Amino acid sequence: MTALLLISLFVIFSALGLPLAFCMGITATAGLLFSGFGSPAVAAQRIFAGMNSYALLALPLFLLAGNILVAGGVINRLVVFADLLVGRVRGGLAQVNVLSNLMMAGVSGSATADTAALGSVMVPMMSARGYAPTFAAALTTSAGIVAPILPPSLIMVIYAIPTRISIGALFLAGVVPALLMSAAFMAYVRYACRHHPLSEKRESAQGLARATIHALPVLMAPVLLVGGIRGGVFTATEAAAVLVAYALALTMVLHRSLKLSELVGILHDSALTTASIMLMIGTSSIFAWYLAIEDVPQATRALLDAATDNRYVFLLIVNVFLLLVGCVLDTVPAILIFVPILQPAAVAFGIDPVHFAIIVIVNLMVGVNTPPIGTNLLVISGIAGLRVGSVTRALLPFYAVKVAALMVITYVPFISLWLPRYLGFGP
Amino acid sequence: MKSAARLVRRIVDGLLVASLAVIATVLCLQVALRYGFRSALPWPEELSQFLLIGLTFLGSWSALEHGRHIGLDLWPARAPGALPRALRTLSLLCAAGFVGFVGIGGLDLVQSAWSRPSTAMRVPMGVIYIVIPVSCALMLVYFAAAAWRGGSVSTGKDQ
Repeated sequence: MTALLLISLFVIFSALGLPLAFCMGITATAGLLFSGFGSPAVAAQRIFAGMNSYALLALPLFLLAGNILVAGGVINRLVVFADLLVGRVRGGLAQVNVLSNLMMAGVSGSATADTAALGSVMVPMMSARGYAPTFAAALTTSAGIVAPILPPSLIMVIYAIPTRISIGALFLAGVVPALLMSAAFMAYVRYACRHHPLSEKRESAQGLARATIHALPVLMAPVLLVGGIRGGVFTATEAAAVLVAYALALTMVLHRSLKLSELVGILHDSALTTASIMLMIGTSSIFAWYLAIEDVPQATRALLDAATDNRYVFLLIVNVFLLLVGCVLDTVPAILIFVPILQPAAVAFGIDPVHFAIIVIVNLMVGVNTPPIGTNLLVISGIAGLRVGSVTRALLPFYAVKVAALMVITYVPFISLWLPRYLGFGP
Repeated sequence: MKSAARLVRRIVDGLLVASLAVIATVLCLQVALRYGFRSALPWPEELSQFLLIGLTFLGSWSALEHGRHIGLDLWPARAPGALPRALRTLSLLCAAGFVGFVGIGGLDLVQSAWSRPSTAMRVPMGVIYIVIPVSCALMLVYFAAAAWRGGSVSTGKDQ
């Protein structure tokens, strides 16, 4: 009865627009008070302890590095480079879009930041070369979902905290699925743009060399990062700090495309984003504690056990459930609320926790592009000046591509687990 | 009153920018010392973690003011009728109650840990915990004012 009351409270308050961090805090505190566990000091201590983690320091740093690179105009260099590589085939500029998104994902951990930055460059450019603006917007926001799947990834840092999975293992596990998804988008673009006229212009070998040199520092970053973490040289947090230094050196010293005064704004902006995510992590730790006291994870496991004893059916149920969740909840709260509940059940069904993490993340990334609450869908519609409805219509075939990729990633664990195992993480 | 509020905002903004800058700087310094000179310092990790927590609490208030928290808003603020308005006010009062609850807890922590030193820097934990009641008081004022005005919290201007 209490639980039902609390769930309705949570749903109503969040529907009314109260920030989710506070919705979680209110519900959990009320629940704890009902069960006689809550005291103010314990609540404050839980929030503090939930945020007091060395690994979480990677979050503001990856965020900051991504924002510095975006503000420093790194995207333009990547787009020029991608244009030289794949711009001359049929639907070339659309392929450039997918490739630029993939390259940007290698240094940025947030799909929203990438979508906003690339959208403002690619949508006008594609419209000018005769692509439908809605197609350009849908493609940009779709291709952008690889950002949190390819390392570095803010979402993976957050996922690793309650589940105690190694961030390094998660980072490596995301590489092949991200490449697979980009390849799927490229294949779809090839089909969708098969009647598109070819572009005539040819670049000289000199131009190619210059663009490569310009793009190389950015392309090297993910290699250094993953190599450093894998080789035990850095922790993920140290890698994030190094990436910040690298981004500063690149934009302020090498390219001189970022002024010191702009940096203050970037720091402030990154701090606010960090606070909004971290507060959710803090209040979700009271929430998780309340769920544990109420035995919700065990009850969910029992429910799923009763529903099926087949792990493939289990994965299907989880995927459908999370796709629905992703339509209304943002990725971070969805992970903080549902992963502590679903993860033990997945392990009980014999699914590798790292593989399960990739399934959950890829699944929720489909949701960032779905109405009514698709953060990136709203962002790209705002930037392109298009109605959400018309972008959604253009997104329909992309949903099919994404769900197909999700199914392959779900039912072929090898795709996610090959690289981390090959490099010595896990069994 | 107005100028006092502006002063608080400026101070908090300055603290947010400085915290993040210090976190990035000391952690880079630590990497350089550890791998360049093989002599890591004992305090950068702890300092950064505390700064991140301080940044989160103060930044949570600032994010409320800037409409930067993550939320849904399926039921738009313009929705007419007495029920949505009443529920919205109730949600704001509950949020005020929640931050008040945590703020009181923070005060308890400040008192009980006043002379307990932190692991690495040997700073009294009570001093670190002060950010909790201060930020919660700011958020309490924000929610109470929003409830009084019959307004709502804006969210999702950015992820």
